[in-house]
Amino acid sequence: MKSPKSCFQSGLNRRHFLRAGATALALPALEALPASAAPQNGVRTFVSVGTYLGWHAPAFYPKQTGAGYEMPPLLQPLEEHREHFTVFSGLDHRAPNGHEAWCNYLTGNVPGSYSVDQIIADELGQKSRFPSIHLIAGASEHTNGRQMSYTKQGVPMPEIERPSVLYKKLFMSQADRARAEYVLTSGKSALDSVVADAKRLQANLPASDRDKLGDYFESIRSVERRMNQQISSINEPIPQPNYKLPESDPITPNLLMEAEQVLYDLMALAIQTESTRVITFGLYGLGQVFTIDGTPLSAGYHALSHHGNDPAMVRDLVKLEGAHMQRLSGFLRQLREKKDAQDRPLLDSTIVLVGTGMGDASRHSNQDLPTLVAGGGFQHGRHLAIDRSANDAPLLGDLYITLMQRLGMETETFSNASRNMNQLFS
Amino acid sequence: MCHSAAVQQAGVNLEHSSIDWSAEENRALWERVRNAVDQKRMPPPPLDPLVDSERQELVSFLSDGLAKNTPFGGSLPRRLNSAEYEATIRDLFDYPQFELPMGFPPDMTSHGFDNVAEGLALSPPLMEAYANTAWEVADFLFPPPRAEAKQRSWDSPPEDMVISFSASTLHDGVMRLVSRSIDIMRSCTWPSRVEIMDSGTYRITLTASQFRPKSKEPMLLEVYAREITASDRSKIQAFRLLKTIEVTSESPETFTFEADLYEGQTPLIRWENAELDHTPEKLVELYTKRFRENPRYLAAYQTALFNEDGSRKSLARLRGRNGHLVIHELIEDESLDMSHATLDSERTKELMKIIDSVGGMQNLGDTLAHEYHDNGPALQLHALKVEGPLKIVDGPKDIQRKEMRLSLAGVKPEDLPREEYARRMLETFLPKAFRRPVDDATVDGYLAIAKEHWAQGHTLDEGIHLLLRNILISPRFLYRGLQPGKLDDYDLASRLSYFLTKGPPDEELLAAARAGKLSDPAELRAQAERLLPTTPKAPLIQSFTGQWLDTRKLSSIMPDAKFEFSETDISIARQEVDAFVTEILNENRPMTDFIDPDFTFTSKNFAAKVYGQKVETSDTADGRAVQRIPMERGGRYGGLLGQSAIMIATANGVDTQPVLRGVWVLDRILGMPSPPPPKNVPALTPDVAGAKTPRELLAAHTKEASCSVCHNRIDPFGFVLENFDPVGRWREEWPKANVPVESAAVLPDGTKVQDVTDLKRWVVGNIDRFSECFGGKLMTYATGRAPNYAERKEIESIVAANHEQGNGARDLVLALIQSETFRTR
Repeated sequence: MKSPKSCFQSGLNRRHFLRAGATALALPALEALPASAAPQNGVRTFVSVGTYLGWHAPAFYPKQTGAGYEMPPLLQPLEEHREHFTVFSGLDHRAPNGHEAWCNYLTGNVPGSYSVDQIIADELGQKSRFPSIHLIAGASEHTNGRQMSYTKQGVPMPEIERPSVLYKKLFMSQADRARAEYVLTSGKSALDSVVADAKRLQANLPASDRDKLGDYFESIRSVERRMNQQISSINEPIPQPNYKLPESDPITPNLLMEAEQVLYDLMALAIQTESTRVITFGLYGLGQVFTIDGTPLSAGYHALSHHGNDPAMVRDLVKLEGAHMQRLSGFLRQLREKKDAQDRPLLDSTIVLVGTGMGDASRHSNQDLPTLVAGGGFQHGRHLAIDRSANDAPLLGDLYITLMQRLGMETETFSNASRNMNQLFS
Repeated sequence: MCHSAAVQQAGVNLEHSSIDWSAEENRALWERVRNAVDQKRMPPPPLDPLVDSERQELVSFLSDGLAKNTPFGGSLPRRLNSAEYEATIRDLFDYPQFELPMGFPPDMTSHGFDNVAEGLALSPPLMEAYANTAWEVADFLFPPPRAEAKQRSWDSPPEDMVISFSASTLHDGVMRLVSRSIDIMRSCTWPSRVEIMDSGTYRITLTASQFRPKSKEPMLLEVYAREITASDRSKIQAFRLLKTIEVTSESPETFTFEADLYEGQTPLIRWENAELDHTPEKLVELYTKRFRENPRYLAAYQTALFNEDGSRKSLARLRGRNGHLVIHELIEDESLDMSHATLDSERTKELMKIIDSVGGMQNLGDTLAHEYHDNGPALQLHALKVEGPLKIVDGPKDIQRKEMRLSLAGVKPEDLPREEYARRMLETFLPKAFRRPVDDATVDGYLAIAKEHWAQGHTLDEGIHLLLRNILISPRFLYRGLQPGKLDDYDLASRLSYFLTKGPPDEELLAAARAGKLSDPAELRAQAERLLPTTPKAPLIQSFTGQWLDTRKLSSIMPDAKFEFSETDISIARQEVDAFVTEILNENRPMTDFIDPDFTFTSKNFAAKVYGQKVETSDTADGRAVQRIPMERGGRYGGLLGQSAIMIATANGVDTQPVLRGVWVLDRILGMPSPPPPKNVPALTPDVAGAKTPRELLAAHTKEASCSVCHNRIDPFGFVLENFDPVGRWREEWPKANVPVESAAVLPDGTKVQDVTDLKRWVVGNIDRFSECFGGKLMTYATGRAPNYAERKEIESIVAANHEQGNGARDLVLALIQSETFRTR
């Protein structure tokens, strides 16, 4: 374990993030976009929520399959949304087991590869201010190598932990805009001198070297184009919601539940203002001991996840995960209540995928990953149980293909999956 | 004819009336032909092989042509890779904490290394990352103006403080601390809603009391400053002690003091002299005392941890408060088995062993902590308040910023025009940033950027901020090796420095370059000697070894649970290779020690567990520490063909694939890379293959003539290593198939080997082949290009000469640095 770092170095420092927020805001690519290409069903937003330490499967899976199942303990907070989500059991990516498991949740059977949210963002993300937004709660340390989301090149997407940073990114203030505009404008005007110097340098080089530096000029020009777009978009109106952030950012691990609440609120606002089409949200877990309904739990989150099937430990783990579900329920409620420009509930146009890369944290196994899908205009209300032992059993990736197709993408494959679940789930 | 202009098998057209040796691609083609013919891979069966005299004639014709016509050098301009870029920024600004931001695009690998010019493309996202990082660095030095500090007051009741593991518990709104540990997560608490925005002096007020103290001795409450974003896994030494308070009363007392807190910090509370100390030694003492006082307590632990037959139960349920409750339920249980509840029983000894281990400490320490939480002694916190800032002070970042600015540009004298001030800065900074002298035109070009900015009404600092942002995206900064031909002193300084330290040349090296001395062989050797790494953590060892031997892969390989190989074991395996290579270089050991040494570096526990060495093991610092451990030469373990990390890196954590290991040996040890495998051929994994013996499986694999060309070379080396399981432990049988491992093989030169010890003997007998391979890899890493024919000939002759003179590894590296290959771009 690395020793603690100064806060500037840790990358989690507040100012660092504010800046990162400002940069990021300055960078939405408002390139010439095809006129809104949302599929006819109007489904356009993809949200995925994942826990680092898994979901306790016996409490997550209903005992009965199909419709009308008895709500399992962990999903009871979701009862009011019964007809708006589907529970899946028996799905996974056939990925290797172990601590690195977390990052197979969205990446398929090769942890750390092109994740489903990034595939979607690369195709649909350009149609909004932010191609994708990545959030995490309860981390308080670098989660390097344990992120949920990876680019096509396998680069992990940085995650935002502070609600204040997300808020600034989404709803940038006038002062922040002025600063971003200054940095962009000055930077762009000086590029000419740098390019002139580079050209003088290039002139003296042999042909093969000149080719090699061709990369450089092409990249500089691309950065310049992007700066131009940003400068022209920086003063476009940004929606200003009436939302009151907490006094201080709830970033210590014990405030995970509070952070979760606030970030869900902001996610709903981001979807409502059509600021992005792709959001991932990681729920992290360490040794923090939570107090739920006024009673401290019998051990920290991580220790509870290694419950060894001790009934008391399991009971507290389910209590804790149930608290996650309560917040998820609140988020779904907001998506059902808030309306989009066409006066339809946001949940109709939003797919919410809830899952994990860890099937059983107690054994670091990532077989049989508890998964549920809400919204997106699917026919819900059922528990779809997949028999993993069947030769032709669908994979979690097949479900992802179905989700991508619902978003209007013509995708036929994902990771090790090349079918879909359209027959079972539509 | 397979390679006629019309057919072009494998895309190779050899139908020419003469060879134009001046074209690089022709030389590459004919070198491939030369090697294929020389190694008898072409023509392939079922065609008739060339008769010996024909083959020799063709090979020597091609060798001559290549040797006469291949010029030295040919590296393209090399972009700094991300590690070099990070080190360069740190060095340039004297900014050791600088780290690349998350999401910085990674580098591609080419010819096995991530610093080879061919692979180091520059893409728009990377350029954008450079531009943003430049902005970030400029902002650190010249931050945008910030709002004036606001006076604030934070009340942090115990309910708003962190409960981590067993460190604290809440009792009717009062927070109890019970233990001391270097791990803050096992001993401390801190407010979760206090985060200082402005570095300054603050008034801290806290109310505390004793709970059931055992003695009159004051309880020492320590207040530290912690970064609120610091990892909970931090050690207490990482933080600054603000105050130690003596708590002497069981009724709440209020203490007020002033202390400096910096941006991003919050107070951290710890009980310095708690009785419960999270070390195995102290836990053994405390538990022994409790067991002596109450045999039922002992019996409860025995029942919780052991089955009736004495086998172990999982520790999982004893974690946290749950463990405490489990124990107390057992104590109350009338049917509690008391038959082992004496201090000298075998069961008790087993139990004490568990307590006296790291895992036991982490789990059972928490269980014990809850005894104190319920019954004391404990230190109680009732309230905490932070107010301020009473006055603004410089935080560490402000101080560092001032120092960095001073070293960048010095203080501007009042009467010096800003243009002159900036010119002076550029005249010293640009040569440092670009790693070579710059002409006036370049200085003027950059100065013009600042002048134009000032002309628009911006401040002096804003002008310099903009300059920095532009210098850091110049190709002169981002690339090295921009001057073609033989390296001049400055480029030689950069090549040597990035090779040996992964960072830019230091002042001593630059001074030698300025004086024109570096191209003098004696000076070059002296500088190389100075910069050669001395510790396993050195960038050259980490980066070169990690890529040459693939041990970088270890961080992403998770051995299957059945191997009982922990993350610590993996880390020790990696350290072994790094320390081993370092020792060989440092001590100028003979090249043969790479293969058949009489020592290794690992922990005693690891040596016993994995290598079956007869060493004393223990769950103590001595058992866990990586140290030099003697080994017998000629054995199974030791050396690059017997180390755990290598076997892990060439397997996949679950099973072994002899083909992969064979390919690895050919490429990394013998310098004979194999062509990529055809697509759609499944991996061969004999140890899970079930009914068929692996040999049978392999026979099918090599029967096909087209496969056998390569597999006759590859497979013998792979099968010889099959005795090593996926973590490098010796095995006699393949699992599942339950047949003896068949490691015997015939090497391509006809040598028969029984197992890895024979293979090692064979490599030692052909050590120059290994040295040439090592030299080739090292020069690829150093020069950023794969050595061409002429350069490999030079490496061969250096290896041969070095062999004559004792075959020292360090001598070989130093001789390679003197080579034409190294000194030409």
